[in-house]
Amino acid sequence: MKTILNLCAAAVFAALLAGCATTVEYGDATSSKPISTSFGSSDLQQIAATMVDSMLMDEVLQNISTDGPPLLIVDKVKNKTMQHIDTESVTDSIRTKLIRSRKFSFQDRTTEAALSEELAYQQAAARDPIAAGQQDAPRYMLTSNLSEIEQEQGRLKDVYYKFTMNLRDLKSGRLIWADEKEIRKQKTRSIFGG
Amino acid sequence: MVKGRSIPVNLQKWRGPVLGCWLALLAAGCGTFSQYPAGMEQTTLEPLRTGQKPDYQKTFGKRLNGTSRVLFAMELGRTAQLEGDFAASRAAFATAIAATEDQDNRAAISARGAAAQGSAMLVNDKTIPYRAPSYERTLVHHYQALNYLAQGDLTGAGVEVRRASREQDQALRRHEREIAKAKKKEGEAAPDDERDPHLGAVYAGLDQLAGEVKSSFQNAATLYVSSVIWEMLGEANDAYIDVKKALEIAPENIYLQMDAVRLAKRLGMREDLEDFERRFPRALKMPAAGSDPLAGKARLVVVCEDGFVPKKSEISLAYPLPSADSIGSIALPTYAEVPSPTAPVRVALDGQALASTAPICNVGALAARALAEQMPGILARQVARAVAKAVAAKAAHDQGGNGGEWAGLAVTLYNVLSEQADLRSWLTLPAHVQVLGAWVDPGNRRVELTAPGGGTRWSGDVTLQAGRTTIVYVTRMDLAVYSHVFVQP
Repeated sequence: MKTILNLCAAAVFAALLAGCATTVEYGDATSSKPISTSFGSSDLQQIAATMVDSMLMDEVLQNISTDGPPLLIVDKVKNKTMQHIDTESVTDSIRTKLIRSRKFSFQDRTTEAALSEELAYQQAAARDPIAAGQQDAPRYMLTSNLSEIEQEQGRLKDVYYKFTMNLRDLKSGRLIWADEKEIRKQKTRSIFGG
Repeated sequence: MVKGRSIPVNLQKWRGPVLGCWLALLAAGCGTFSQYPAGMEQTTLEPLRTGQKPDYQKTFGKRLNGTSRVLFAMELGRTAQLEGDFAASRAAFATAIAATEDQDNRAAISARGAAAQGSAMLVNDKTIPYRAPSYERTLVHHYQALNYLAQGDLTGAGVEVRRASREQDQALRRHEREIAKAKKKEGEAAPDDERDPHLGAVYAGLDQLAGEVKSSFQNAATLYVSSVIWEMLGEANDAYIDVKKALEIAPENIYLQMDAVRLAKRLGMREDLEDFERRFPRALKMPAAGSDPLAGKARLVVVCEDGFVPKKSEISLAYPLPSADSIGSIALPTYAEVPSPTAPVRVALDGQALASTAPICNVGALAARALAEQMPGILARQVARAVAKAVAAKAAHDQGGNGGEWAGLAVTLYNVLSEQADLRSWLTLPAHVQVLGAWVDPGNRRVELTAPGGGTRWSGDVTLQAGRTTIVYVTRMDLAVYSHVFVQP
């Protein structure tokens, strides 16, 4: 009888312990252990890599660089979430991965001001100046959105992130490729804790 | 041995008074001003009123680790913003938001929470960590959005607007759940009707200030500013949703009516337009957003904040304590003052009268309604405390002999000293908010705001760009006027 009582006590204690930790999990549990429901650095890497791979593997892009890699402009990822995310960093990751694929060529739009200054100088003082308006026009444009839906039910918090990417042919105006990736995180607030 | 035994007896004798003094010290206030709200008045409100710069970093910086950290982070954020220190304000509001999230994410039964509740049981509600009511949480995001806007980060402002919207939605859902729960229990009225008959004086003050406001968490001023930021971001649909929500709270506001019509026309909301035709005939001439009449025009938005939100005051009541078989004295917070009503401000552009602002939010009323919603919980804690204290006083007195009398006296003295209502609330908020929205010719133009009684309240040169929005944000605090112009990045 005493043994049964001890066992029961141990079981109750174990059950109590199980309720002691606030847990966060990925809905599909395919990745490394998340630490919060916020959009973190591993999510960022995961998303950028998966989306760019998906784009590069697509049929539409297989023959895109037959006449040399076309010029692509990567627009800054639009943050439509409830968190302050450095989307410039996501954009950089995407651009870097694309550059390394060698399927596209790029312009650096962040140095636009310096370029204008240089061209102005060339017009004024150089022997064979490059005129403004002589630069190649980008052929394709890559745009991305990151949105978030949050739901709370009792102690369970469910956060759903959706990353959408579109590739547009600027000559025809057509959308030639699109994909989206979802990340779902669930957090259960513990019953007992510090 | 004899000597050894006498020591514990002496200790026993003095334990009551010593404990009483220690607890009385605790009661004086933990992590807050020793005199609250007088300390706030002296260090912050009075300088703000007279246009002197308060030393907000010194006043609030050291108080960001105590039990009232959320409160003082909000006060710091607001004061720094009024003074134009947007970086400090942004950091302070970020602290308040993180601390609030931490409170929300804490385990349902936490050791820290239990300890705070335990000390509150012995002392008073002031020892409980400050939890911002929903209207304050929403306003944190409102002002934080302005910080991002001031720093040219429109995306960051968008994030704060989404957070403000989530805050209001969650508060609405919580409120609906509470009503549903109350309705489920047969024979029980909705929470609002569950008023304790002994608290007539408390509720009278709250009702007088709350007036017509039905809920504490729906704030039309935040929804309006949100809709303006949504439009800056090019999200007409989100702007429309917030304008419609704001209209439910402040249907009389002509600028909300005009925005609703303008956006409904743009988004092709036919059914809504038919409804607006009936309800808002004055606003119908407003053209569709993005249509020809508005092309080449600049949007001017004026937000006028007026006065200070009222302070809570304490009211002491005799309350029957059946479990202790006595009548106890309990101290409860209420609102005794009602700020003077606000009047429209006339706005002129280059000397030409444009229009007058229209009221959109009575922050004092939101505060009073929030306190009324919290009152059942506050009362339950006060009654439990009064019972515990009555029992302790009786037990000390019953000890007998000289020691018993001393201990009884000390416990009674402590009970009187420690019985204080929790008067904490965000005090640098305005009492009233008014707005104006207009589509005007772009250029560098002079905007002038004239007070109701005459006299210029604010004037300044403002850059108005075609297709872009400029927000003139003016806060009057008695003698002083604070202003910022936010230009769409």
